[in-house]
Amino acid sequence: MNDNQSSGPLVWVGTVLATCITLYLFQGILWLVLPILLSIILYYVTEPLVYRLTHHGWSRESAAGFVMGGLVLLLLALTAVTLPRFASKVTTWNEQKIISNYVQHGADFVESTLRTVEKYVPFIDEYMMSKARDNANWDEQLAKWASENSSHTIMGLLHWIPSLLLIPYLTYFILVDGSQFKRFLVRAIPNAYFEKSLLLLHRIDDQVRRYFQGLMALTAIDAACLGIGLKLMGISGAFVLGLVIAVLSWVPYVGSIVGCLLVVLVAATDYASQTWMTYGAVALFLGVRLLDDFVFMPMTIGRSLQIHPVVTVLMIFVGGAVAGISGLLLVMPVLGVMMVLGQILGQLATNDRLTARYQFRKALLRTRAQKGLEA
Amino acid sequence: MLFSLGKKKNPRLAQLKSVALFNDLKLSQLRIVNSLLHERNYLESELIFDQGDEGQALYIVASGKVRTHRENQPEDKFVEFGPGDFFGELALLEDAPRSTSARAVEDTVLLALFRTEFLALLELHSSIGSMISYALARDLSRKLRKAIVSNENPTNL
Repeated sequence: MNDNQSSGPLVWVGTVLATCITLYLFQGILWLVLPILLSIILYYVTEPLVYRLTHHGWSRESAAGFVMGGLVLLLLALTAVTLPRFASKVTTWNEQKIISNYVQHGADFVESTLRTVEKYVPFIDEYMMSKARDNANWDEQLAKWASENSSHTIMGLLHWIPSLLLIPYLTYFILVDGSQFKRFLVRAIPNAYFEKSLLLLHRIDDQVRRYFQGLMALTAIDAACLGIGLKLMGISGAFVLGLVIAVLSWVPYVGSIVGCLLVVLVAATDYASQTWMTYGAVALFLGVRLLDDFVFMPMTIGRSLQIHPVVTVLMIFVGGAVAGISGLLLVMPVLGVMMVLGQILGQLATNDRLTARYQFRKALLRTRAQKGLEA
Repeated sequence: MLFSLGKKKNPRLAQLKSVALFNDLKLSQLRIVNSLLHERNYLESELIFDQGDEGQALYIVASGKVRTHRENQPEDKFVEFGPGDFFGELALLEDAPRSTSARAVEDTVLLALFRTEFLALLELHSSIGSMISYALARDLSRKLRKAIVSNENPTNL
């Protein structure tokens, strides 16, 4: 923001507290919060297209209907193609122990890497061997755990389908009635703060729009780079894996770690006897991450959220502690919203002239209400 | 809908038609402009904006009366605006501080048109935007001519 004043400690404490309380409350209605959040993201992503259609003479309703209808049809077509294959895979996953197979190969890769390290760094050797003796069958246990829980995890994900169906429906109405709803909310702002609030809201809206559009562009670039790289290496499901990793990196730091783990598991399974291919996949992942940080991200998102990395990491841990996995996923968007609200309220509440004007109107109303009370 | 102005016959549209800024607009165009306006109610003596504020909106008087004035300006130089008049139009054209303060002389209903929404209108409905821009230029020209003739500063911009 142009007139962005740095928030004071009180505003920051309030922001963190509000974030924690919101995350805690959101846990119970996650089935609603997640579709709303994704609808808002989809709104910002599809809005330029709707805008262009409107520019060519379409009404807002028909443009939004066309864009969302097209998107739903595309998703339905994709589902029709992929669902039967996916369903047949899910039923065979447990029988063939595919997930435990991935985990087993990942564990084998870690063990092989440790052995290589031990060969070159002798003092680690003794320590690692003692550790290995302590956890003789940790990899088997891990594989067993993965095998037992895989079907539950997949069924749990399928439970989300009805609430995810809300996304196109909500997005359509945000596209059509979003501005009217904003005007409805603006009516509640007192006269004294009206012009300033609207200016701040506009700037925030602009910032959020650029952030989400940048995030989508970044996800597409990441997915394409990873997909092409993994495909060239001959790794199975390269583009799907690339897309999943790109989406995972929406969660700062933690998402990248999980993404790297996925790459290791798939590459170690596809090339069980060629460890160097797994190293190559990890190198590709790290290369894309570096490109992401130094080239793609400045080109797309920039530093729009402007949150210090230490605060980001701390808040991810706080989010996880307060609301588990949902907290990990939601903590950054919620923190972003709370920061914005904190900045607005901070700027409005500390403006003495606006406060005086607000008080003056209240005094005028009070005087008017008291008229005729005295005999 | 709770917050929709809808497409029903709206008495506001006839009112807007009488505003010099929107004289040339058709009914369908007025409907689009109307969907961008924010209605605000001010009490007698309430300040609408201060001189030096970051100007962001043009105000149209729907009912009531508004007075604009500069600091230390003699009272006879104050400018009053009644129903159908508009003020604060420079805010639509440039991101500059307000040159005057505005206060409601009596209970007043104002319609605010924000610069960002006006710019979106220029882009999305360029014919409406250009007609309003032309009317705005015409009004500024008239005020400038008046100021030159009377050898004064145009205080009501």
